[in-house]
Amino acid sequence: MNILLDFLSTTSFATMDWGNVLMIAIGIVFISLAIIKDYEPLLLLPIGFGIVVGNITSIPGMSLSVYDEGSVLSYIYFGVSQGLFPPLIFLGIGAMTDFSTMLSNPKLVLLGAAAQVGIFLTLIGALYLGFAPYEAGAIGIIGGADGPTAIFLSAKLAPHLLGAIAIAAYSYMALVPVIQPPVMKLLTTRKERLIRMKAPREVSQREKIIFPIAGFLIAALIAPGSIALIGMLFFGNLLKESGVTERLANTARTAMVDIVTILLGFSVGASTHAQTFLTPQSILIFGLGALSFSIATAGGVLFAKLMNLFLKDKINPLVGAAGVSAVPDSARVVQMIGQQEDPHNFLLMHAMAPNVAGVIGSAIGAGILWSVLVH
Amino acid sequence: MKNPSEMVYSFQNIAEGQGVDIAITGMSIVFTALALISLFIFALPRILAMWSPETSAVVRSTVGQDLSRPEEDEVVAAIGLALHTGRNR
Repeated sequence: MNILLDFLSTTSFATMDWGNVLMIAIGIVFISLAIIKDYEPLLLLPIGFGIVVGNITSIPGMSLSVYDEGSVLSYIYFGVSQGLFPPLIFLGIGAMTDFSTMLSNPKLVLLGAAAQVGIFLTLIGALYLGFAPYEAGAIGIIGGADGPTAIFLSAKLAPHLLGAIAIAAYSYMALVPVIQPPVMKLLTTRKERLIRMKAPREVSQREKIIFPIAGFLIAALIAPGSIALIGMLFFGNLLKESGVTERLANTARTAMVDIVTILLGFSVGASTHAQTFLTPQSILIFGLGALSFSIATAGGVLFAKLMNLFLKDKINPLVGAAGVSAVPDSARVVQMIGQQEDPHNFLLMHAMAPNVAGVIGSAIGAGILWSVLVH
Repeated sequence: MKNPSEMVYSFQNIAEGQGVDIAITGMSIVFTALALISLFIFALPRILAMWSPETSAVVRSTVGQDLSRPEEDEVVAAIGLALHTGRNR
């Protein structure tokens, strides 16, 4: 009987508190959103299940959680805590990205830069709320709307906030179709939303091959801190465009990126112990995250309107919203809002240009913050 | 990490953390990097045309021009959208 009572005292029923129950409920909400609403299922489902797993408590001495030395989960989490997984995801993204639309209309690259204002204004907001500068930098990167970049930078600058920042970044990426449209409609007139853009020109294969090498050199020489992310992004793209490494490109954009996504999502979810995750700071981070996505969207849209003052061939300002790098969701939102006004206006291909430029911009932003705030 | 009770909301925090300086510098660098990339992309077809005279006529005729006929634009865009949506399912 004593053995049975001892055993019962080691079960999670005896050791978990309300916080763990709440987190398990949040995990189930994530899983439900992925399955029922189809919101970023490839990310939210692993993260959601990871949250459930991470909040099953155990007695001291049992090496189970991501934070316990020698546990299986800690070895998987190593890829997150040491910033290994994000560059591998960038390799896969590079191998699946077609930069043609960007190469055919280079001025749209600037929209990807403008949307990064979300990163730096959120940094200011986080400082105002009392976060230390290195924490504010890690929180600010949520505004880059790029999950792997957010994880990479927070692992480097503020590992103790990694769980909250990663969950906020991925949650808001899933909510791009909810967050962006009101901002886009608020800042544009119907006449602007009806603007049709010129069809992109044809891009030669040589341009596609030269671009990843030159693009990497420009970005890495200016912001060396972005080498891991930008380097892998452009390397993956060179594998794709070179035409001689199709097998490698295919592996990078399919099996490899899928494996890393599973491990990253699951272990990030498993790192959200209620005891470390349910804090007032996490609530502030979630608030700042929502704000940062809105600011980034507004930055892109307003800059497109500014560019239109000087351009003969006008840009549909909605396209500016795709400068936040949530690929390809924000481009899809641009397409959706554009077609609400004119069902025959196809903005998706145009929106992909600032969208991929935003990925480069947010990685450069992360490199800059890492260089400036590393302590 | 600060204790929540130690966190004070204040503009002084922004000044002490050099928030405005970091933001202005950061945005300037991001813009510079992407503007340089944009300029490179703009110049690339022209540079390639100079290096390969045999293709320069083709490049000159395509750079900055709309290759498709207007009536084809919607069809091409619709096909692109359908492919993109299908691949991302």
